Formats: sequence, C-alpha cells, structure tokens
Amino acid sequence: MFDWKTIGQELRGRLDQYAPETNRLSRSSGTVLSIGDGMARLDGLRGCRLNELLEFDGGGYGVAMDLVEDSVGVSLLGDDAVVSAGMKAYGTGQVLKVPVGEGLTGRVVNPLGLPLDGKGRIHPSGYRSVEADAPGITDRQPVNASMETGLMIIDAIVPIGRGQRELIIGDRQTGKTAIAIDTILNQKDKDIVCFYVAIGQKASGISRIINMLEKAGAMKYTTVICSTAADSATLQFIAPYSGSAMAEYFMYAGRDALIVYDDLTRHATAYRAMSLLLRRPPGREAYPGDAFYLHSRLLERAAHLNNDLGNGSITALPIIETQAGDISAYIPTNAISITDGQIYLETDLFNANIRPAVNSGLSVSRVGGAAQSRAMQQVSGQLRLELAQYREMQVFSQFSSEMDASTQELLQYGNTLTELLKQRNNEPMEMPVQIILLYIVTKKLLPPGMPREQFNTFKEQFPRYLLLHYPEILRAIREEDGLSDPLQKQITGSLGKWIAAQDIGELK
Amino acid sequence: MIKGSIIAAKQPDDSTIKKISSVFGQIYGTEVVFELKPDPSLLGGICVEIDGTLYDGSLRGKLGKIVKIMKSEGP
Repeated sequence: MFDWKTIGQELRGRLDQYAPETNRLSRSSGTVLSIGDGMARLDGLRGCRLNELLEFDGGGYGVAMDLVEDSVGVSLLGDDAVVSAGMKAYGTGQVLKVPVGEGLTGRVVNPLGLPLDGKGRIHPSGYRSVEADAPGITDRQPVNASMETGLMIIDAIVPIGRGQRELIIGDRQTGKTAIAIDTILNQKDKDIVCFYVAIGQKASGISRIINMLEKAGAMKYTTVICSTAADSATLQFIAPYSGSAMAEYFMYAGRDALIVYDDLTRHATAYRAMSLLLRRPPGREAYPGDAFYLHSRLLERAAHLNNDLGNGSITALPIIETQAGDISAYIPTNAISITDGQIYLETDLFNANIRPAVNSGLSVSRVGGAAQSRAMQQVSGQLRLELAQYREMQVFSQFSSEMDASTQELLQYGNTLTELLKQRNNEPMEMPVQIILLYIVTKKLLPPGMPREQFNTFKEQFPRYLLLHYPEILRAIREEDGLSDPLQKQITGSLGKWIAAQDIGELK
Repeated sequence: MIKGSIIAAKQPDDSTIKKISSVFGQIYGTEVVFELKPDPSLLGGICVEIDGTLYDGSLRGKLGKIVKIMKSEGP
C-alpha cells in the first residue's frame, strides 16, 4: 500500500526546509455581505489594497476592485457558486499574478494561467503581476526592425515594426482575425514568440483557430490565452493583461514577442459590465470613466526596449470591431488615438472580393519606413499615392466611356496593382518575393493589357520559377541593402526568361 | 473599546483569555472585549479576530500553509 516510512521521511525533510515567507500570523479578514453576478460586497478587510487578491473560505478567489469607506467590492475569478453570503474572505497581501516563461509556449491557458488543453501542468519560470507598469520613456528606443506579416498590402503600404502597436479595425466578418492569424503564421523560424488572446469569443471559433495554428506548426511558438463568451466578465477583463504579462517575460529577456488582442471591443464590454455592477457611474455609451485608461495602460506595455535593457520588444495587434463602419464611436476613437496606426478593413472591399479588404487611403502606420528594409522602401514608396490616383480616376470611369490614353493607362495600372495586392488566406508571402513582384509591377515590366487570369498565373508561378532557377536573386535581396542596379537587371532578365517560356508576348 | 472574537476548537481557560485581552489591548491601545466562538474545524490552537484582521494561530491554518507550499513546489 503506502510506504509510510518514505512518506514520513519526505514530510520531515520538507518540514525542515519549511520557512514560511510570511511568518506573520495575521491577515485581513472580512465577511461577504452580498453576492451576485460575479461581484461580491465584503465587510471588514481592514488594510485591503486595491487589486489585492482575496481568498474565500470556500476556496474561490477574487480581486478587490472597489474600496469604499465601509465595504469592499470584489470581482470573483471563477464560479460564483463557491461563495455565499456570510462566508469569510481573507486578504493574501498580493496582487494577481500569472505564471510566465517558456513553459507557456505551445499551450492553451485561461487568463489565470491554468491549462485548458489537457496537456498536463504548466511549469513556469516565474510569476508576473497581471497589472504592471509600462516601460518608462528612457527605457525605450525607436522602432527600427520590421515585423513581417507576410501580407503584401500591409508590408508595403502600412508596414509594422517590432515594438509598434498597430490597430486592426473593421466591421464584423471583414478579415480582422485572418490578418492577425496570418501574421502569426508568418513568424515561423523568425524567433518571435507569439501570443493570441481571445476575449469573449465563441469557443467553437477559438477551437478552429487553434486547429489552424497547430496544422501550420505555429503552436510551437505560440501561446493561446483563452476567455470564451461563457467566462465571467472578470476573466474576460483580465485576459489581455495576463497575456501582456506573459509577453513581458520575453521582452525583458531581450527577445521579441507578438501579441494579438482579439478583440478589445468585447474587452471594453466586459469591463463595462463589471463597472456597472460595482455601481460606478456610467459615462458615454454607458462605459465607465476610465474606459480610455483600460486600453491605454494595456497597449503602453508593448514597446521596444533600449539596448541596456536587452533590446527586446512586444508588438501589439489589437483588434476592434466597429458597427456599420463607424470609427468615430467611443471605443474605436480611443483605440485609434492610443495606437501607432491602424489597418482599416471595409465590408465593401471584402464583398468585392478585394481581400485583404484593406482601405489603403484610411490605413496608416505611424512608424512606416523605419520598419521597412531599403529594398521594400524603394519599390513601395509610390504605392499609396498611385492607389489614391487610381481611386480618383475610378469614379470618372463609371461615367464617361471615352477616356484619353493616359487615363486608360492609369486605370489599367490601378487594376493590376489591386490584383497584385490581393492575397489568399493562410498563404503568407516572403519578403523577397513581395519585393520582386512589386518591382515588376511598379516598373511596368509586364506586357501591357495582360488579362487577369494570366496575371494571377504570373503571380503564382513566377516566385516558384525563381526559387527553382534563380534562388540567388532571392538570397541577394535578403542580404543586400537595397536593390542595386545589377540586381535589378537580374530580376528583369529572369522575368524575360519566364515570359519567353510562357509564350505570352514580349517583355516591354 | 473594540470588540473581537476568540475562535477555538477547545474552550480556552480564563487565565488564557485574560492574557490574550491584555496583549491585544496593548496592540490596539484600547480595551478589547472578546466573545468566544467554538469551532472544532480548527483542530487546535486559537484564532483571534479583531476589527477586520484575523490572527490565525490554529492548527488548520498551519496545515493549510504547508499544503500551499507543497503544492507550489515541483511536480
């Protein structure tokens, strides 16, 4: 049965090492006055601090959110059923912490760090507070390295750098999550640890995303922090901060991390529910007065640290869902002012099969060229302007059927560009391939009047042709700084050979 | 004068209660009047609760701390 001798020895050994860190005998204690909807009001708890973790006699935990003169408002973490009126609760003297470290990578956890994937216990390297101060001004350096999403339209027009916060904003079903997931998929072999924080989504959706990540082998470097729509408002509220704490472990260790918050609109909704239950006064759209602070303190924790602190970074991709395209609503405007740029997705573009449905006019990246390689800057510099000119002319094309040659050329070029920037889901494009395709199209090297199917064939097959016959060009683009003249000639030459092999006309 | 409670598995004798009163009277600076609450689940020792603070000298409390430490170490 049991080996009592060994157990006894174990226990004696452990007891010898037993040196309680808090030798204090006293803790603050209180009694539950009322409980309901995930919030409890407690009496007593002298000396309770804000955001202190409290432990209930029945085994549940809660966070002290509201300190009033004669009572404490507590949001419960987990099931209300374990707490009843009259029950005792004790202060732990600590704030809420989550496990962090390499042990989290590849796992699916809840916002408290408890495993949800049935793969056994988490072995953390340590614990970090869920709420933490963002790096100070002198702790940072400007963003200067690129975070490649693998999506040409983003990497060319609204490039993202490591340490940047880029908002993905649009109506429902416009491809916001798809952009975030494609970015995660593109971080394979790039030494970036990824975090996907699901806030208030349906469990079936999250499960689909996890399957997608696993199939693509992305779970090797990704952690999923999951709070479904069935979880309490408190858990949904904590989820992004937990994710940020887990990412900060890597940032302060000198590594780069990417974190996706999907989505912050539901996060704000959960916080609004908590605040109203805590009887805090409602403000605009019934959100509490600190709705801005809710997101600003979260997103400020994504930064690029200076060399003294290890040069690590966290890149944040918060997602916000708008209603009927209204980016001037309360939460969207907050998020837009906090972040370093936005990627604006439109339903009309999506329905017209322009996917990713990025509106290149309204989308912006405030870091821009500093995050791009010289080669990419060279080929994409004029893109935004050219697309704007194309859009202007498009309006006219709907009215007059007779246009002068230059307008027709512009329209054709714009069509080609739009076609070029379309990309299928889960098919990220490597940077050298993007640069080459952009070079060819912007320098108008293809035979004019190429039908759309032919152009798509070119887009698909030419990169493979290069990989097979001219891999040195792809390597050179990665290694060299900028597109030198000989390199440009090489590209043109390889294109000529491919066209000849296709027999579709002559190189211009 | 403040109120407090002494929670114990076994009823403490009068001299013990007097000692507790004088010690806590010194800590809090005023006279403390205790009410006695029996609670066998403590397994031993005494808990003193005054004004929202709990002083846990019970056996149950000590065992709980040991369990916590053992849980947080290793597999």
